[in-house]
Amino acid sequence: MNPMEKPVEQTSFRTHFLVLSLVLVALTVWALVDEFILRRPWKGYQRTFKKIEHQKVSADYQKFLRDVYDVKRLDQLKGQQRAEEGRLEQSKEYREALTALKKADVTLSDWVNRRRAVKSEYDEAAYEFTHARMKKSSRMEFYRKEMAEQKKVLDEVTAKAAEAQSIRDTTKKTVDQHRMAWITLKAEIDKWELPKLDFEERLVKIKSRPIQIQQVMVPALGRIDRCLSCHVGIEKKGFGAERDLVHRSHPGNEFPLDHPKNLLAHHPVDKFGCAVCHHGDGESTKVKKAHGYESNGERVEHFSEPMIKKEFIQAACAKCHEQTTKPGMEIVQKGKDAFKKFGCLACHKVTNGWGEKIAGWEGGPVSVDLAEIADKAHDEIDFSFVEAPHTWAEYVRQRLLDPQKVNPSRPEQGIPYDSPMPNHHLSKDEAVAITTLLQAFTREVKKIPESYKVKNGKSADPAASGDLQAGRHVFVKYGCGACHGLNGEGGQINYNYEGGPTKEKAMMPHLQGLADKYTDDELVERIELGTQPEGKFDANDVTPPLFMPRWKGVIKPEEFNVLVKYLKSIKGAKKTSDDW
Amino acid sequence: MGFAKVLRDGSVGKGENDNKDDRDDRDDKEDREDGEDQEEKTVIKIPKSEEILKYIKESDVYKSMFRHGYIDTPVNRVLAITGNIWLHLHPAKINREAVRYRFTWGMGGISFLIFLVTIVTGVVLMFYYRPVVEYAYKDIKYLEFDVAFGPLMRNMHRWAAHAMVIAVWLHMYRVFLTGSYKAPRQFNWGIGVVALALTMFLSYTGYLLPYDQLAYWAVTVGANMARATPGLGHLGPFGPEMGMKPDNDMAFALLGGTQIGSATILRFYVLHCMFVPIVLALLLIVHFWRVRKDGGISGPKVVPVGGATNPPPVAAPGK
Amino acid sequence: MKHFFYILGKPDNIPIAGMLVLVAFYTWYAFRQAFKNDRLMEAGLIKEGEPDRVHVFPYLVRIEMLAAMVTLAILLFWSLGVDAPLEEIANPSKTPNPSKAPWYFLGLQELLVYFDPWIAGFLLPNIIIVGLIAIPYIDINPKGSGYYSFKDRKFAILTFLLGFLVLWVGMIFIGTFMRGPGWYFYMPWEEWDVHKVVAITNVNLHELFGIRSVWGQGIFGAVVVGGYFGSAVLHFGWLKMKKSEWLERMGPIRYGTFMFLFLSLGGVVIKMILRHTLNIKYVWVTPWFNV
Repeated sequence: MNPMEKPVEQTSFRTHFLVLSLVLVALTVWALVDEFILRRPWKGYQRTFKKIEHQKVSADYQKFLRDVYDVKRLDQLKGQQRAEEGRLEQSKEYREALTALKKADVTLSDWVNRRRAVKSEYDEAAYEFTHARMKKSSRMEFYRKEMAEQKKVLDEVTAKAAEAQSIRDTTKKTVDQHRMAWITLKAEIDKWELPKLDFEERLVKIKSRPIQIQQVMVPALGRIDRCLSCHVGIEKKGFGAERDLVHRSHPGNEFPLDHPKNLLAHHPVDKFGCAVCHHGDGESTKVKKAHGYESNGERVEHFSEPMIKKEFIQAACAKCHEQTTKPGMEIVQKGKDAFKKFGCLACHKVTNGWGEKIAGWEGGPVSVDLAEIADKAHDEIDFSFVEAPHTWAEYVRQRLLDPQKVNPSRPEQGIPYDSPMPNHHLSKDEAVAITTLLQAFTREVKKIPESYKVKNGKSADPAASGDLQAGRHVFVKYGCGACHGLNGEGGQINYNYEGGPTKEKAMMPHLQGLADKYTDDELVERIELGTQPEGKFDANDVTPPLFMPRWKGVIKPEEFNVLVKYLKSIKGAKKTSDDW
Repeated sequence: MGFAKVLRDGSVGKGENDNKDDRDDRDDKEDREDGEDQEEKTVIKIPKSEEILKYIKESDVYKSMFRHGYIDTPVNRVLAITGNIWLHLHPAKINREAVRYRFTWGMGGISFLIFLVTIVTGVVLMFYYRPVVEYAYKDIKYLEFDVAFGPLMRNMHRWAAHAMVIAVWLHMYRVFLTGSYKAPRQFNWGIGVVALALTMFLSYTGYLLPYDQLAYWAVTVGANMARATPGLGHLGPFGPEMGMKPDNDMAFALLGGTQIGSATILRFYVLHCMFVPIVLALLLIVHFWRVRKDGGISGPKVVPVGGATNPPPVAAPGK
Repeated sequence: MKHFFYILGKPDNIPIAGMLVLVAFYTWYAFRQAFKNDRLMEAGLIKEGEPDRVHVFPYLVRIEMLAAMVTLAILLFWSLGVDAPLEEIANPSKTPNPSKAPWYFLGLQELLVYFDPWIAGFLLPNIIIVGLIAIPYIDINPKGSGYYSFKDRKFAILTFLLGFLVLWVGMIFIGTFMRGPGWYFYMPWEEWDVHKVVAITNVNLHELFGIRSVWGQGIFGAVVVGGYFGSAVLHFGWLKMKKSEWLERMGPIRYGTFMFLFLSLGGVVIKMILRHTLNIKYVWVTPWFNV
């Protein structure tokens, strides 16, 4: 509407069109590069690995040619072979035997074919007979006769065929006797020739191997793993020391197949895939989205199952192996031992995920069920006081090492107390071991088919000699030491102690000198009843409130007998601030 | 005249008014008669490019497809619009001011273009997507990691969907600010408003299909609103009085169940891929048709006072 | 600031950021033209009349082509540069906090703070759609058709800006960028805190007046809400007395529709103000519904 303006007819858009066209062309090129290169990193890995493997095999081949392949001896053997062939050609008996064999072969195949035809006719008659009998047809008798006749013929032919077979076998034996020397020579030659052929074939195969996504589908585990697209060398042997991690073979491949440390021999990739042990997203073909970690070790956002780090990897074993005493499962076994030693089961139970108890893992009602603790969602974890990286495993490890540091009191947020979980001052190894064990407590265990699981029967309670030792065993089994001290000396803090959160006042009771205070029956009653939730200082305060659970019906009467004896044996000079 | 003959003779348009061609033709013939033994050579004479062009332009195939010449004349300019099914949505001539980008911001056309983009990419995605709880998420992953150009198609579909919502809003904003909804365009504004609502519903139904956490909870928030519909939702006012329960109310109708599940995915899939796009396309047809019938794109019925009001038309742009 | 950038960096929020920029730009762009046109009209440099026309081909078609190329280039660039997000597989037992609707519905979700779901999720969207459709029939101002202007239609434009810019786009902005866990309000520089607790001190309007009985509440609320909308009748009578020319042109039906829509829009704003100043939860409490 501006009268001063240049009219549209006189405006040129030449430059606009040119620039935009160039931009669109550039974007198209980018799209192509993105599709064929950037989004398919595995292509590069496979290409490089082909080169590496080819080099390696050719080096082996060269070495074989140099060290093993003896050309002179081979020529000599071949000469002998030719001489032997000439001799055989001259030999009249051999030629006769050969003719006889050829004839026997013909006769045999004739009879075999004949038998097949007769058998087919017999089958037809038998079928017609059955059919007629079912329909109660009048032709039943006819077919019965027919069948009997065919049967007779069939028997005859079968006998003839067997005879022909035996004739053929004897003639073959005769021929072989003549050729014995030649066969021995051939075997000798093959000892060199076959490996050579094998090498050459392998080289050709490596060269012609297509570059493509490698995928393992394991419907039984509900997994599709494409890890092998990048980790090309996993199933191969002898790539343990490649510079690039992605080209290396799986640890243990270098051991013999039946060696317990050859993991893949016992867990073939076809049957297990990768992610069932290692976690991560097997379907992904991009580095971060497959592994689940950013370059700084943090979890990739929205990643549900980041890979298990090497130090905790034995968690995978415990998902299927009920007994973890075999070599290679030392850490998770250590975790189990520590879990029981520190009395985790006094407060926590570990069910099978359906709320059913598992023998040996029945625990107290004080705190949460650990059955699916490994599935705790990332968003549900408070990482405010966890040192980086903020992963599930790090959270658990650090929390085990110092529960009060990771879950401290924050009165301004309505959390008046530190975490009530006792601090056992675990060693670093123990924390890693228990974390490994906890990582095996996952929902997935329910989904893994029974055929994958290795059950070794129940672990019997170790035989205890003497009541005191048996009592000590009961003490550990039910985790009394978690609160009362590993030897009954007390020392753990109860932040829920009625009267306020002063740390000094709120110590868990020690168990020293019980013999002076209680009779056996009183002690049993005390343990059976427990101390129902200590009145919380503030109804909204931290959970779980620590309390002595009711052990009635949990600890068996015969266990009480020895437990009481053990408890009464605990003596100590040290008096902690509070007693029972 | 066959193309082979053209190649052989090296000329076209025999008997037509191009004399030069005729002469060439005659020369060729003479050449051929001159030397019988040279015939092989003259056979592979290559025609000039303008000759091929001319041949093509005069073929029945070409003439059946293109109704007007390229030469820039007023008639051809009009024919370019009226003779083209796609362009004839436009009038042949238009208000000088309405051509300016600053007037329309191009948002109506851009919305339509993005709609087309979502259709094309959406069809590609449909090849790989199965609307079932078990497969929905896996198929998206398949698209993301395996399918050639799968990520590009999915990204483009998603971003285009967002962009379309924005473009439609801006289109409405522009139409309001220029007062273009005023008579006689009232009804078309109404159609536009419904199309806008449908665009958002289209986007909303597509939101669930990847079946990830984002999809699930975004749709849940929406479905919770349906539960609160007065009289028709079991949590809404008078809902219980109308006999609404979780299993027969509005949200149930939307989700195909009391919870989001396979039935919901299928329902949203059909709405997203079939029903809503078709309804929206029909509305757009009416919308575009009404734009023309209501007097073309709106423009000021005002002109500059005095001065150089109508600059003389220039032959071609940019010259 | 951490969480603000976190939200901003989410791929799905790129369009929102883009939309804010575009809306701001086009608002400026439109008003620049509007003021210019107003000036030209005032100066008498333009007048009503049949404008000059140009050929669509090539003058419009080339612009359309350019727009299409730009759009496709942006879409391609966006699609190549940013991957569409894919979160964990849907898990009905794990509610994200906050769980947000698709971004274009965040305005409505934001209204859930002030209204019950049946109003925010049902009544208001319907009023918005109906109200938008009704605009051309209510706005009978013949001026300002087909060009940018502000002077000729100040009221229409300001009302629309209140609805579109403040209530719709603004609420989407707040819903996207300023709502954290528990749908609590966070300024961009504040950190999210999953444990944040805000004391609920909201009261209902009738409680301020000391009315306690169920019937009392219902009647009180009905009077307040009814009175609010009923004020239109007074206004109508007043205009009638003044023999208003505008009312003459509007007619009673058009006037009624207009007032209902306008008061609904105002009601939303008033309720929001009441919440923030007097902590009013409901104005009208009945056993069946609350307003």
